[in-house]
This record gives sequence, structure tokens and C-alpha cells, in this order.
Amino acid sequence: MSDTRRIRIDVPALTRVEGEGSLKLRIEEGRIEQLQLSIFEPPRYFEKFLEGRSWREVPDIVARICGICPVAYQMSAVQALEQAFGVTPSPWVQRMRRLFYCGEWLQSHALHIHLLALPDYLGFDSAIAMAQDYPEAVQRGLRLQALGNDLIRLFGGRSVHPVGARVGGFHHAPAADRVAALIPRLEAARQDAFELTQWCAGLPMPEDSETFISVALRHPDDYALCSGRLMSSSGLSLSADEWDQHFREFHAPHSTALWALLDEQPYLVGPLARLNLNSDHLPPPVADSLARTGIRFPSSNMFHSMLARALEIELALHDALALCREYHLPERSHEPVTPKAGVGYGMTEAPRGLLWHRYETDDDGCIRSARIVPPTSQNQARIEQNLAASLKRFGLEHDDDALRLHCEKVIRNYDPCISCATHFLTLDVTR
Amino acid sequence: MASITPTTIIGVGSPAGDDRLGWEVIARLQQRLPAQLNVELIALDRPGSGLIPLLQGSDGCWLIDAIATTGAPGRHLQPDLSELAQVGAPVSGSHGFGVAESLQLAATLGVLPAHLELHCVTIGTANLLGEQLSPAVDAGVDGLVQRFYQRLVQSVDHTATFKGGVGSTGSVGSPDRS
Repeated sequence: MSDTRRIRIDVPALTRVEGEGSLKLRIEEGRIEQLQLSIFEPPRYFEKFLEGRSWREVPDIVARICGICPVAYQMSAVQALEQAFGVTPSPWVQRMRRLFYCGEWLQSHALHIHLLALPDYLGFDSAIAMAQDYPEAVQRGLRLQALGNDLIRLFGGRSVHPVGARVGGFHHAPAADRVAALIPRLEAARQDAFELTQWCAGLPMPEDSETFISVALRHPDDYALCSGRLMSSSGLSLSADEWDQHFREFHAPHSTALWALLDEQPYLVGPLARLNLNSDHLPPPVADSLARTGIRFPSSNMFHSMLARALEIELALHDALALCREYHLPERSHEPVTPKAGVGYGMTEAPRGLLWHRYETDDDGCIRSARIVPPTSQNQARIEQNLAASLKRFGLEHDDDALRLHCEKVIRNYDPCISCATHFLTLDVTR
Repeated sequence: MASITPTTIIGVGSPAGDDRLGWEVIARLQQRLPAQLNVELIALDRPGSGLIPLLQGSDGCWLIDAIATTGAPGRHLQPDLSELAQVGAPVSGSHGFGVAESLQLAATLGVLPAHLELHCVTIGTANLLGEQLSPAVDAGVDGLVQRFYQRLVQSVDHTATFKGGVGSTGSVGSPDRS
């Protein structure tokens, strides 16, 4: 095939991602002339919806932003409002928030690996088709996902859009016997997770290394999840209120979601970025599991994101088990809150990456203004950068189907959360 | 052949207009069914693949969801799995993994309950955002609840209305006219 052919690939609706996005790719004379990841889901105005609302309503409103990672939105929000009100959550609350969050990582990562990403690596167009040949793998994913959902339900009352979180802590502390009932399941799941890590490490991954900036939280004592400072592989160390000194959001004409740059550069958030910056904080059993794979982190291969997710499943199970074993009913499940005028910042690690919130409140604790920077909008520039480089390494001479599949793999690898999914409807090729 | 009494009745819905009908069925059954009836009633908000573990643990399950059509709203249908996959849900589950996809996956894995009935009520596009059911859908929900009540409490056998639900029992008699 000569390199003078002209190719235009329009992927009007990305599948196996959360949200409505599309991809335009135009290649002329062996060069990429146009490559655009477009998010066309209508703006959802959550930041405006929050204005004028009571601080009490915020956790339940922001939970509605995402059906997959509502805990992340709640945790970043309560952290920010607690800072605005000068509330310090008790050690019990901080531990239980980590347990709550472990459930979300578990369910979200298990969903992505087994139902969304694995078909790409095993040559199937869907998890349903894959389940015929790999029923045990799919069953394992469903077990892990269900366990994660049960952990969320423990504190949230329900797994989708949970309602248990509040500023200061939780509305209720779960009964000890409910927590104890999860321990045998968590213990059993660790073997599933270990096998998943080793299996993912053995999958045929493209050798696709490139230079990029990783951004994630880092905590001195543990693998950062809902506390710590923002770190970057370029050497930054920031508190949440220093965000605007280095990060800039802007509107790209082809996307309804805001983009973000770090010092005018694309950057990566998410499991691979976290592991690149925190692999020394993996607990010993998880570090041993990683060592057995023979793969080293930091990694510059974006396709190691799936392995990073698998390791984070192991980490979530390890931590959840420890937290469940030490569980006791607290004297109170939340600290008293006295609202006041102020500004607060929160940042936690959603399954897909760093989630930053800022709120300004009035004397009654009503929201004057809200800013929410979700991980997928932060990753958009990085996805386009990755697509362009990865396609060149893959080879623009491949046929259109192969190019399209490679693009899909690159995009899905980020587990973008832009909500929804119809199938790739048409492939428009111009030669 | 008499129908199998379910151990679980699951209503799938969302807060979005007529799509909430699955929840309404569960809420109305909770009000009407006697407490001693050993049936678990579950209302789910677009569970995606999370539906599968619930199905796995059930010997018999009735599953209720809205189904989008261009025809009259409020009609009761019992589609089979392939019909459900073609029509699709009015509001998809996460990552496009809705009820149809979850049932297909469960079928592929061989974990569907031995007795599963799909009960759908048709909805249109007139009420996608309201907080209440539209009158036609509301009437359809009442009809379905009455039908379930008769089967569960009064032992009225409605299997004659069956038209090929997944793994369901009984497929005799005339098609559903409701």
C-alpha cells in the first residue's frame, strides 16, 4: 500500500467507554493531518447546579456526576468543604473513607479490565463474545466487581449514587457483623486478584513506550488514595490550593469537556500515573505480585495501565481486608459541622485519576462557587498526544480496520469516563 | 403448566420520567403483597453487569424494565432475549452495559436462573425527564402489578400470556393482549 493514500476515519461514537465521544483521523501522504478526540456529550452544568445549594446537599449532588465513581466525587467534595469549615475528620472516618474508596476502585477497575478492555487484547468485539471462550475470566471480574459494590453499599446504602457520605464523616456506621461478613469474601478474592495480575502481565501488550508526565497524589505513609500532596514526574509537589499555579483549563473547539494542561504540557492521571509515582508504597504482598510479573515501574508503556489496574485491585483488597479486620463501631460516625464562609480544596484519586474540587461558601455554608476538574478532562490532551505517537509506531500503512481498532485500544486504555456507549456506527474511509 | 413462583422480583429503572416504571412496580408490590409471601423485591438503578450476581442467586426471577417503542406507551410485553437486545433500553446502563447486555452475558456464562421472566412496559419519548409516570404508563404499571398480585396471591395462572421470555416456564395459549 503506497503512503500516498488518503485515509479519513470517523468514529462517531466510541464504545466501551463511559460517555459520548468520537474520533476523527485523517491521514494524507503518510502523515497525520487531523486527529481529534471529540467529546460531544452536552455540558452538564453541575458546577452551576451547586451554586446556592446547602453544604449538606453537595455530597449527594456530586455523586450524580458519575455512576461508576460517585465515591470519588463525594470524597473530594467533603474534603474541600471540611477544609472550608475547619473540620478535621476523626481517624475512624479517615480509615473508613479509605475502605469506602477501596470498594470503588475494586468495582471500577474490575469492570474496566474484564468487560471493557480485555476484549481488545483477546481479539473479541465485546465481553459477551469473549465470555464464550473465557468464562472463568469474566466470572472472576463479576465477582470482584460485586464485592466492590458491596463495600460501597456498606457505607453508602447503595452502590450506585451512594447516600451515606456527609461532610464530617458518614451518616451511619455499619454494624460490626456486616463488616465481619465481608472478611471471608475479601480473603477469597485476594487469590482472584493475584491471578488477575499475573494473567494481565502475560497478555500480549504492544511495546509502546513514550515520554509523558505522570501526575498523582503521594502520601508519605501509604499508597495515596484520598490524602497526600499532588506530585508529578516532572518534580512538582503541590497542595490542592496551589493547583492554579501550574494547571490551566481551557476549552478546545472540538470538545464540550474542558481540557487541562500542566505548565502548558499534556499529562497523565490514573492508575499508571499513580503506580509510576507510588510503586514504592505498595504493601509487601502486592509488591511481591508485581515483582513476579517481571515488569518494572515507572513504566513508559501506556498499555501497562491495565496491569496497574490489576495491581490496584490487589491493593484495594489488601487494604480493605486490613480495615475490615480492625473495624469497630465509633462513638460517632461524623464530626459536628459548623458551616461558615470560606474556601476549601479537595483532591482524591478517582479510579481514573486525580479529581480536584474547589468550593467557596457563604456564612450559612451555601455554595457560592464550585469548580470540579475530573480525570478524563485532564487526560484528553494526553490521549490525543498518545494516539498520534502510537499510530506512527503502529504503522500508518495498516488497513483501516486495524488503524481503527488500534485507536480504540489506545483510547479505551485510559478508561475514559464520558458516559454512554453506542457501537462504532460507520467507518468513513477516503482514499 | 402452572407458573413457577419467583424468589426474586427485580425492577430496573432510573429517575428519568417513565423509565422509573420498574421502581414503581416494586413500590406498588411492596404495598400490596402480604408480608409472609417469600419473595424478595428489589429496585435497581441501571445496575449494568451488577445485575448478573443477583440473577445467579435466584431460582426464579421476574425482571421488569421499560422498553422504548414508537407504539402506544403502557403496553405489557414479554420479549425474548433477542428481541430485547434489538430494541434496547431507553436509558442505558453504565458503559452501554444495560439489561439486555447483562442478560446476554449471563446466558453466555450459563448463569441465568432456571426460571426467568422478562416483563416490559412500553414507553415513548414524551416523558423522559418527569418525576412522575405518564398516565398511560402509570395505567400499564397498575395492570402489571395487578397481574403479579393475581399470580402470587390468588394463584391465577397467567402463563397463557407468555410469549417466549428467557428460560421462563409455560408457553401455552394465546399471545399477550394486555
